[in-house]
Amino acid sequence: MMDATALAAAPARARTRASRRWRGAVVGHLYLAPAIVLTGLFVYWPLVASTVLSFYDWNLVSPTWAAVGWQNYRELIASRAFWMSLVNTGKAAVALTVLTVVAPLLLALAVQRVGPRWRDLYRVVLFSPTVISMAIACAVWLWILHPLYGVLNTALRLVGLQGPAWLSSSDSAIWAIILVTVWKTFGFNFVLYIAGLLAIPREMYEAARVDGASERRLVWHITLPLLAPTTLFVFLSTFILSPQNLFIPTQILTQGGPNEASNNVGYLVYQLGFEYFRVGYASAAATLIFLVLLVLTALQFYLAERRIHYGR
Amino acid sequence: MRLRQGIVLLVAVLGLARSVGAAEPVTIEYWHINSPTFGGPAAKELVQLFEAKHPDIKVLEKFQPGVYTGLMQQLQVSLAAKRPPAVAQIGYNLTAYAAGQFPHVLLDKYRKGDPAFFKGIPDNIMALGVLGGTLHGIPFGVSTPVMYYNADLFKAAGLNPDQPPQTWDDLQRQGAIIKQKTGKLAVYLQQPNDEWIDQTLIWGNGGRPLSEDGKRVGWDAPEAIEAMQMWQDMVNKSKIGANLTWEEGLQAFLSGHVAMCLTTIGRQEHMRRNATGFQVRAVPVPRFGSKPLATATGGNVLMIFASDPAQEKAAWEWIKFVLSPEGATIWTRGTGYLPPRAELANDPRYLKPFFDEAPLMKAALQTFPYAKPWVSFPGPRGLEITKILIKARDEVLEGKRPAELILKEAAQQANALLPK
Amino acid sequence: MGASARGVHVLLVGACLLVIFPMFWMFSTALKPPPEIFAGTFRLWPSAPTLQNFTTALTQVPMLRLFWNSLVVAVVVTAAQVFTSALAAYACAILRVPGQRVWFALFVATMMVPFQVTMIPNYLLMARLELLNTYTALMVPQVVTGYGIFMLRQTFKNLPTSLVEAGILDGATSWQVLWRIVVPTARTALAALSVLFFINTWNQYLWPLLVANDKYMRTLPVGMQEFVSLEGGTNWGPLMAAATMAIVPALLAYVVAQRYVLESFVTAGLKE
Repeated sequence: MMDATALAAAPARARTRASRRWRGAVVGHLYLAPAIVLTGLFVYWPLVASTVLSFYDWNLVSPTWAAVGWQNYRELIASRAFWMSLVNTGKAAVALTVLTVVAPLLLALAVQRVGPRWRDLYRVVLFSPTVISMAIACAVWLWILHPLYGVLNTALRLVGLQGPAWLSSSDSAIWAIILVTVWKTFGFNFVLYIAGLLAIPREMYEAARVDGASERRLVWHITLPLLAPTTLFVFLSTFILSPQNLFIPTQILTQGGPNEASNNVGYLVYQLGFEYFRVGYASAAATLIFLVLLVLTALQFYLAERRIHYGR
Repeated sequence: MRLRQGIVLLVAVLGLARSVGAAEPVTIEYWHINSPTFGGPAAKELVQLFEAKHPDIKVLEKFQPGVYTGLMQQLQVSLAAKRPPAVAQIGYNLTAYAAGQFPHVLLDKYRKGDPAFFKGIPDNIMALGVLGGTLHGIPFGVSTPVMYYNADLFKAAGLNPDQPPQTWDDLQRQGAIIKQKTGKLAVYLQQPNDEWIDQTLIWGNGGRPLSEDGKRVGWDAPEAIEAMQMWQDMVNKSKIGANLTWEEGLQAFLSGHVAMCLTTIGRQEHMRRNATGFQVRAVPVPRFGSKPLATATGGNVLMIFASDPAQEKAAWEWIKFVLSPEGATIWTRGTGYLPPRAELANDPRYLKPFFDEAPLMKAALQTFPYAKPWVSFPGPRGLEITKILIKARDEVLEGKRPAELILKEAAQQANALLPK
Repeated sequence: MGASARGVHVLLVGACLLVIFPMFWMFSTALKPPPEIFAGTFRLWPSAPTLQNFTTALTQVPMLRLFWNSLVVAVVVTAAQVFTSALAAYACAILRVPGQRVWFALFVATMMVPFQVTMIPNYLLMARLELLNTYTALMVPQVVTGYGIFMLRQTFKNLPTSLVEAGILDGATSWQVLWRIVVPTARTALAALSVLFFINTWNQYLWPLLVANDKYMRTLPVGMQEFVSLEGGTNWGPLMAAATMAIVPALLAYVVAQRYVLESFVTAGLKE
């Protein structure tokens, strides 16, 4: 960050500048070293290792690994569980994106309109589920969704309805997971929107109001367009992170059941590796899933870029 | 010089002796599935007594959730981490899997070295722990399913509690009456994390859970489909059956919401103590028409996974203790598992009084001669097969598709995983 | 208050109630005696609130030990994450190390790698090194944070350049510039990041589930699940009591620091 103009005036510094730059490179890399080591050891090496592992068959216990070539991948592509997981993940990602992109936006807009003390209160309350542990939240939801004693079915009983076994019925299992994930994660997007809204300069609104624009026109023509980068970010990150967000609810609420009805990409790898102990097979699943995710993300970025440059 | 050498030698020997004698207690982990409602207190009592007798051994008993299937998973993970328990309960249905996949101690050497200990355990019981001619685990108690029932609910429905159903047709008939007259559900068949009752139903209807040559599971045979369809209908069509987790089902029975409960005799102590305000009785599980009674034998073998010789020795001492007349008496009293040493049942010093005064045990004794094996699925994918079948059961009970479709699918998946 | 303003409040209050209800219900159940929990009737608040579920929770599961484990792990990991992120961000944003863009991209790219891909090899590594069920295994792999480096690089870049230059002209070493000038100036962002990291680590579930299987080495979110598949069937009362106790630290941290958290989003988040 050395300002070239300021230092150019001091010729005597030229040699020290060069040596400092050289020292800077070495020293600079020392600063980078911890992050490099950690990232290499715990992210990039496992990425490679996982791919290698996918060509073997191993059950975590036996001292020998059997090399099986592409067998794991072939089995995966033919596996019902794998396709169910992909479909369910897609369903969930779409549902999550719809539910947690629109609703938080509306709430953020609403919160902008109230007085400062109310605003703080609402913000704290609405963000609070995001702060507690997902695992603990799921335990609470496990209780709420209990088929016999849970408050949801008890309340339904009061109005004469018979609530299903939310978590053990193949129709509702994945939706129960989606519900819990929405409850838990919408606060995050909510806060992102608030941040985006705060970044819009007041003057724009003032100017438009002076011109006689109504509230609705303000929102439609100023707020939403200026919020577009935020919205895009929210949309993309929700979609990309949804598989990972689904793991904990699946593990605690349904374990992928009944009969793969709620299995998803986030849970499948864990299930294959630590419940069925087919570590090579699990790694193949992980690699495939990663590739799919990579392609989807690249596609989304590309489409998003195009929209921003040409769509507005 | 000689004297000094002698003294040095003596001191060395004494020092060695002291260091050996003053060894720290060996600590071993004992993994089991006995919750507070399923023999937990008896397990703790055994540990206390054992440690009193063996001050040099400390036993850490650890409950594993998910019954034998869950324990097996935890065991596999612990073996991967190279920290397995010294000794663990392995359900009969998973013995082949554990014996084939996990490093463990073969027990023939103990059998040969201590014949007196093994006298009194009938050969057919010992056979439960023998695979391919080698002894892999010591059978630790056998159980059968029985049908517990609420005598008071029967009376309230106008039925004679001394004549509970003996066949499934009878059960459905009486069950319908109970539902109609009292509004309560009639029956619950246990739904734990295993397929024990499923195998019982299949055996009972004349089928086999696994073919003789071990290459096909029996879940898609007509007998199996018929039995499981009956279960599905009881829950979904006639709605006299409950679809609940194991603990919920037992709780529902004990609080008087379900009239009959098919579960293991191992729970009889818990049932006896916790029935709220009604009399619990038990009879053998219903038969399929005129077919003979047949049930799957529940229980487990104790296998030793310790690799350290001191731990192995300590584990063997533990096994000997829990299988001794004294240990077996405590165990049977606290659970309802039948002791491997059948003779204890008639011995007034040990279990005769218990069998005399525990009416629920009669049902188990009557069933015992008809007990069939709890079939173990061979090969490295045995655990997965078990899970496929458990999932099939769950789907059958959900009632959205006919049992035949579900079971044929499951059998196909399972067969693909059996060794060729 | 105009009609539309009231409408806005109605909407917000409604949303708040929906959001809060599960936590309220958790607390209400925790205070109910077990028979009332299983009665199947709808009572918003226990007729006779009792603390027995809390005592059962504390005795059935080693809650204090779990608390301690979570605390140790969260504190150490947070400190380590802030430290390594600050160092890396400093190198990228201020020292302008040659090639920093590449390194930066690599760090941030880690956020794209889903956990499912790395968890098995990392688990195997811990198992091989016989580090399972140790604090080391719980802490070290969690220190990786692309997010922290991303945020701090933004923050550091936005610092007034004059400050840094003043330090350099005074002859300070890079280390001194970092700790004497950059860090104090960016302390708000660092504090916010620390709070975020703390909460995040406190709540971690999957990794601790894999590597800390031992009853006494588990962290809180994992250890609490023991109530679910517990011995007598799920013990809901004590489970809810345990859940209540478990979310308190995260909630506290959030309530105290929520302003910082939001501010850091605004300043560092989306201004690129």
